[in-house]
Amino acid sequence: MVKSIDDIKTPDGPATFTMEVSQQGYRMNELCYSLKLEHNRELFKADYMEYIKDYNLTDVEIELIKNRDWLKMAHYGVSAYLIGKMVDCFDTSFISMGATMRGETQEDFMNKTAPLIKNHNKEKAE
Amino acid sequence: MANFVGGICTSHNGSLMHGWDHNLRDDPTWKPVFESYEPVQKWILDKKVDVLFFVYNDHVSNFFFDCYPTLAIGIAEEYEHADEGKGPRDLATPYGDVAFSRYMADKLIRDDFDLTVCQKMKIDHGLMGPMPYMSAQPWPVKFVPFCVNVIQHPIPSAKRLWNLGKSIRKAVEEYPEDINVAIVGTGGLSHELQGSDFGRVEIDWDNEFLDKFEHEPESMVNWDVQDFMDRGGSESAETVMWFTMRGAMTAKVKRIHRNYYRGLLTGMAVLIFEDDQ
Repeated sequence: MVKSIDDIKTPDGPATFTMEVSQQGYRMNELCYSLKLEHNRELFKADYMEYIKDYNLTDVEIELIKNRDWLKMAHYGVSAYLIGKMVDCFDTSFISMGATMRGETQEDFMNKTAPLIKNHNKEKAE
Repeated sequence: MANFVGGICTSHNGSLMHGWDHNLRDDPTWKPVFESYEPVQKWILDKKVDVLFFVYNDHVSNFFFDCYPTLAIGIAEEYEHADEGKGPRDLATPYGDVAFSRYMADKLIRDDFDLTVCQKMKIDHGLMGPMPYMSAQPWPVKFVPFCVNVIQHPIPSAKRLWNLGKSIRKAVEEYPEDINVAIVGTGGLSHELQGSDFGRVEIDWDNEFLDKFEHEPESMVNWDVQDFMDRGGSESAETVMWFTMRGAMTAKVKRIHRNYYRGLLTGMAVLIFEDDQ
């Protein structure tokens, strides 16, 4: 039972999106899913604290949003694809979101990754 | 009778939308991606493909967790583009082959695959990520969109989807109309989109996977989904969808094309196989 933000643990590695966490994160996921409509995105961007009132979020869930704590959201039970929809509305990039989860800046992550981006065909000789 | 002409596998990562929508064809980083699909464009035209049976997953663009289908097939005349945050994309309308879709739904359900049948379905980058790279527009093919839950675990196993491929193949070959059908498996390869290893890509494993997938797919068919996730990151669970394509093919295949590109967040591959018997 998540009673405080400290109850959400963030062990190293992936947060597998199981039915259990999906149920826990249902209201948050529903909120993010609503952002697939342009009209809702506009309302969210204008005043997200007002917008989220319709989703019966718990205090902890509201804190997750206020803190933009993407890593805890993932471990709590918000699908990465749905976090992405909220990230867009906060004018943040998916890459920046991910770098934050790694504990890095977007610049660090890009500097490390960019040189690797190319064809890597390593077929095993038969 | 319908003719099964072969199969394509491709990644369907979200950045493909970025590359296309920002017209990055001549960007040095993106050029190899665009080029890696040129053989697919040619093959679809050479084989006079009429219908693509397209196995992909929805990214909570159309379906939500109030009711998230494990296996879903579209049977519509045409499909809308999903709004993935920037409005529906400016792409040609994908048309369905309704009679063929209905026939496939009927055959597969009779063959023990309990499908959710969708008369309306918005299509997201699971299909429309790679598609603009695979063909000029308007699309010269019709679509049977087939969605697999690979997001909310548990998800179907590679074995289940391999068997689905076998049933698809059989049904296609019994279809009384004279059309050319190809199957597309999408997803993967390695990636992990949340957690402390966000951005994890496994170049060596992806290349090994491509070798095994071509030459000894049965060595992986009985793997648990977790076995794929351990090797290629949590979102590489999607790779199970490739087994639908591979199950539809002969044991030995003729490879027409293979390319592997390490994208920013995803190991991206493109394959074309034909039967070899």
